[in-house]
Amino acid sequence: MNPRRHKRKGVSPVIATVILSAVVITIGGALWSYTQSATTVIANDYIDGVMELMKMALERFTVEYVCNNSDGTVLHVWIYNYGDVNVTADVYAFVGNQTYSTDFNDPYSIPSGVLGCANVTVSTLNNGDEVAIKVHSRRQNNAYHTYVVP
Amino acid sequence: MRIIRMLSRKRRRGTVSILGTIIFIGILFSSVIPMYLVMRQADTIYESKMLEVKRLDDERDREEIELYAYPASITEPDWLNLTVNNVCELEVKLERVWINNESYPLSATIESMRSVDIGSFNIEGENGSSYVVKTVSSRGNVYESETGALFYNGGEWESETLGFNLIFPSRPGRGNRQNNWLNELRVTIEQGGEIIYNNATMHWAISASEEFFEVGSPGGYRVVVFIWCKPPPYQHWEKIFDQTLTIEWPDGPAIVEINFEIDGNQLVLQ
Repeated sequence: MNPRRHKRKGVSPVIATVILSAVVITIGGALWSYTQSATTVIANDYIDGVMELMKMALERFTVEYVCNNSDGTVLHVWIYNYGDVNVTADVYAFVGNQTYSTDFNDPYSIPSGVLGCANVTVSTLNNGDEVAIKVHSRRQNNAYHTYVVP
Repeated sequence: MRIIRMLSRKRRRGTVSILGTIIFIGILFSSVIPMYLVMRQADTIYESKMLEVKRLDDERDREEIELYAYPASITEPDWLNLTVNNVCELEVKLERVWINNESYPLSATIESMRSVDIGSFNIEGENGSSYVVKTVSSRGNVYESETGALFYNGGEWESETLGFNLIFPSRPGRGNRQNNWLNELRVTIEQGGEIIYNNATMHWAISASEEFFEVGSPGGYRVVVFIWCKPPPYQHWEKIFDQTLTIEWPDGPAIVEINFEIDGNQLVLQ
């Protein structure tokens, strides 16, 4: 037996193990890193979703008062946000078969705990006209009120 | 020699598996479990907020006050006085008063079952005008004056409604009665000999009862209450209250709340 050959006999399994370990560590590290990023993104998305759902459920507002200007062309709708979150809403007024609303591109914002007035331009209102008012928040909550023009 | 080689090969065989297991456990503990815990935390916050908001909604439903608006005097057009009765078990905080289209900020807290004068409001009343008074609580409830709209006509105030609201306390049940009272009442209201209500019948519930009697004008009214009594010696009507009560409107509320309490065999004013 060649004594040189005999000396190198254990080298190749060691190299194989080192290479295999390196491969496992590289792939494992990449997987670890990917999983960490993915779980962070999933957790953040989930939290955002839950928080948005919570805000939707926490939204509380009511139509506190309604009046119109002297010539009956503008409805003043006073909305009280008595909830804990700010509200962004569109206001609709239904008179007969006509529907009027605030500008969809510029929804009305009411901070928490604040009374705000949204103005809806309508065709001339007459005494005794019944106006159905709907305040529709961008989180899909509604408040309703019926106003009879004095 | 062969045995030694086999043993050393066997010793190295698990290295990769151990590394793989370590990585798997690392991923589990550093990514998956924290994600799960964070999600659970978000769910817990959501659920606690839902409980809180449900409680607030419940309180909003149970909140109840009675608002009375009346002028400072019958000929004084500029000032309206407001009185609020809290008739629920919750403390009520009022945020605003609306008199027609004008709002007045307010910060009044009314404890449960208390009555509070919340102040005078300058309205600069005009002849021929009507005034609708509302108040808003911090829970988002809007209450209108119990007396309806007020009218200022010909230099005098008029109210939509005047009357007495008789409130009887809870009636002692069987086994706890100190008298022969049953559950039927008769109420007579008269003014200057003219009978407004003659033996109006009302049922007195165990839990307490309330009945409104509308009258035409302010002033003093004799209110007499009879109760149906069981034997001995026979079933009969017994007078348990006889007193003159006054509606001082517009120097006081148009609807006068009369709270009775039981004193032996009689009803007395609280």
